[in-house]
Amino acid sequence: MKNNGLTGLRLCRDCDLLVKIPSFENSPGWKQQAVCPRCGYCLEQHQPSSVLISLALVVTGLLLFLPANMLPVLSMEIMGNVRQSTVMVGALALHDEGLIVVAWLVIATAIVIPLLRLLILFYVLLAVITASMHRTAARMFRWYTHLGEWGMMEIYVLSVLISIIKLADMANVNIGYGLYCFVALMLVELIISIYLNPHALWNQLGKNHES
Amino acid sequence: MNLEYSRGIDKGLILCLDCQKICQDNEQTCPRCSSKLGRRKANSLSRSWALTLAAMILYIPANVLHIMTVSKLGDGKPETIMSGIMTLINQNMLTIAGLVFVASILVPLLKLLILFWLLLNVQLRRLASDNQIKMYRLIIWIGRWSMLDIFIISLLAGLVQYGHLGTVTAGPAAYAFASVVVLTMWAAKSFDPRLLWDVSALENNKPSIKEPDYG
Repeated sequence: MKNNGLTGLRLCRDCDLLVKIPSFENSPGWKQQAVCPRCGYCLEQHQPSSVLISLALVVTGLLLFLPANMLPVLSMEIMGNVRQSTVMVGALALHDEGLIVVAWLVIATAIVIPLLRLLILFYVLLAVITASMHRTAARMFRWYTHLGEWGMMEIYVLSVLISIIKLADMANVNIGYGLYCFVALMLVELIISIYLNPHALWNQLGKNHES
Repeated sequence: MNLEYSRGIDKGLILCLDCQKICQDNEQTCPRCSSKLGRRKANSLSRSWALTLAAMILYIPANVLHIMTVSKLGDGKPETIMSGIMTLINQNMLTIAGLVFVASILVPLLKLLILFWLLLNVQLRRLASDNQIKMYRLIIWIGRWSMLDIFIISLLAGLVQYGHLGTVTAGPAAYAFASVVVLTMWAAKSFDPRLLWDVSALENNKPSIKEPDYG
């Protein structure tokens, strides 16, 4: 950050209070927080996270993406008839029944947005490592935060579990390999969201294009 | 710089909501991430009102129309959200019934009521309290979980296609319900919590009485 008298100052996102916060640089406490004294919003968290480990997590997620979406999540059997379903098949079933927008919503929140977030993060982390392309990376990183609440993999996993129990009295329901990959992908996204320090990434993106 | 009870808006500072950089208020876009800057979220009140009211209207068809039809051996019975939960209770699946009730009925209703209440508070210039900001954070956090029912329907409709033996088809309420989820998430996002605190800055005469532009 440029030294224009604003060093150490934060504006609270939720109540617009101007707050001076201590520097976390020599502080050992993981996840130690500076919170807004008025509304309790977390202004900054001490969270040293390595770019390379983040990148490794993102690559893990990208590798899991294809099997999670290609392999069947659930399969079910009534009197010898076996049907298998991936995330996509469920969405297409809605599409066939005329609920086109709902089908797109499922595809977007369970498949496309989680993938998009991983790809954006991949690009941003590469930009930070190679110290280039910061303008584009900054523009894309904005989308990463905007899309955050629209990626709903964990909700999808819960809905799979509920469906299994609901269908259990009707037929034989089996869990497919796709579900294991899907859960793993969900966990990777969860770990990324806990581990990643957006504040530090923004600072690095900002530093490089100023110089 | 005297920091006691200063708002950014009084010091000529704007927070970039995308990258959290503090910018000067003569800047149009954030120098770091080039997103548009504004003292408060653009048209926050009118946008959240419109979206909340639209969601309130759609909440009715979402609960009255049938959300899916489960047919076994030829005879189908259309279910609404509530009758689906009753079926689960009759089958003694109380935990799932509870989960679906919370995600599909309680959470959307709570979200609508809280949004309505927050907007009224700003409109009537009520002082900000801990409860308001807590409620705001609650709806931001739980809002997404209402998608649960939509996902369950898509899974069932994709799997249970056995012709005469049994089929599950989605009903028109799924449209209305999905709209309620998206509209309320959008409304909560458009709402600017700083408006709640601006009221208290006006009431306390501290440190300045500059009226923020509510837009």
